[in-house]
Amino acid sequence: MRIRSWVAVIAGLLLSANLWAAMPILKGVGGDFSLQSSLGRQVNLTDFRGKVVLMFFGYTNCADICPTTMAHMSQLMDRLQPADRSRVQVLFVSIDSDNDTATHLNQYLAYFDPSFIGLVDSQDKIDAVAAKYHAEYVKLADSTVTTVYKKLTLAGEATDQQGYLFSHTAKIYVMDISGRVRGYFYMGTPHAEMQSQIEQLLQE
Amino acid sequence: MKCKLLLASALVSVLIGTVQAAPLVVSEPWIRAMPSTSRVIPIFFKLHNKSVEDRALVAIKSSRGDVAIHETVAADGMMKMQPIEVLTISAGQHVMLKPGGYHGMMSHFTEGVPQEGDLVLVTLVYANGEEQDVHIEVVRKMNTGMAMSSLATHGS
Repeated sequence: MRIRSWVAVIAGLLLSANLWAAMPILKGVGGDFSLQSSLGRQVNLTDFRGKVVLMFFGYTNCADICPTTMAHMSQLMDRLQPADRSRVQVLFVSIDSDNDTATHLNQYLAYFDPSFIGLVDSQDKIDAVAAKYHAEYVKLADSTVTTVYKKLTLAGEATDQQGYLFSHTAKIYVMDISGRVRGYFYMGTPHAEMQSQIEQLLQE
Repeated sequence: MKCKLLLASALVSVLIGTVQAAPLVVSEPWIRAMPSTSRVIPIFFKLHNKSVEDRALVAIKSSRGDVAIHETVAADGMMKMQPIEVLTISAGQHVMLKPGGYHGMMSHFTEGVPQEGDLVLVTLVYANGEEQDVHIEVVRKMNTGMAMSSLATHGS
């Protein structure tokens, strides 16, 4: 009887651990890069070997998507065990190098979690990273863009620094301890799912 | 509990009834606290149209900055926020302005970025010319119900 209940407990544990299938290694997406950062120095993806990296493309002049996503990630970090937490790195890649300086990014991200790192560099370098991570073409109303985002200029507000919006990938790239893209989270991915996936990746 | 609720809603109806005939009830208002260096902050609330006519929110005004009505849209793996001219609240229905969905975007701050704890006066402007003042507190929230959650379908 006692053995049976132990079997049930162990089966239950295995079941909950396998609630989400292991993330596959995605081929053709991702790769190393080197960009200026909110730390005031160049950051390489290889700096984070041994950590799970969660990478998001966004911009700070963004009222909803970016702060909601950063708040979601901040809450995720709070759920993790301290040992796991120190092995998870959130990277925020700014697609708005016109407005997002390293200092501005640093203040912005520190508000959500002091461990978050912002990456910002010249437009062509950011474009190159964006292309590496998301090579699909996106058709908008009257144009075709080849990169992950497109600057949308609103009529009459072209000279206004708040007068534009971006359409950008909704993905939060999940990279394993070897820097390989393993899948994506989204702004609405439940914390329990994110936590479970991260814990699995950290055990590899 | 039910009695209290009924009493409260009756009281609210009476109070609003003296101001306007067909009330739109604002509830759960909040502004996300953001770093003092932010150039934009979002405004959220729930608008319940208790009248028998459709109503339309056409603008949000505030002396603290410009406010535009925006909508967050996700499609084909991309996300964007776009301005909307008119936000219709059908008769008897409610509309949520919440993270990942409709929201007010405040920018061009006149007295700096509203900070946590501030009460910001905003005026909701409707298509029929009616205006409604709301005081909204700036709060620091990490845990929020997002548009893709069940909140979007929560009935009244």
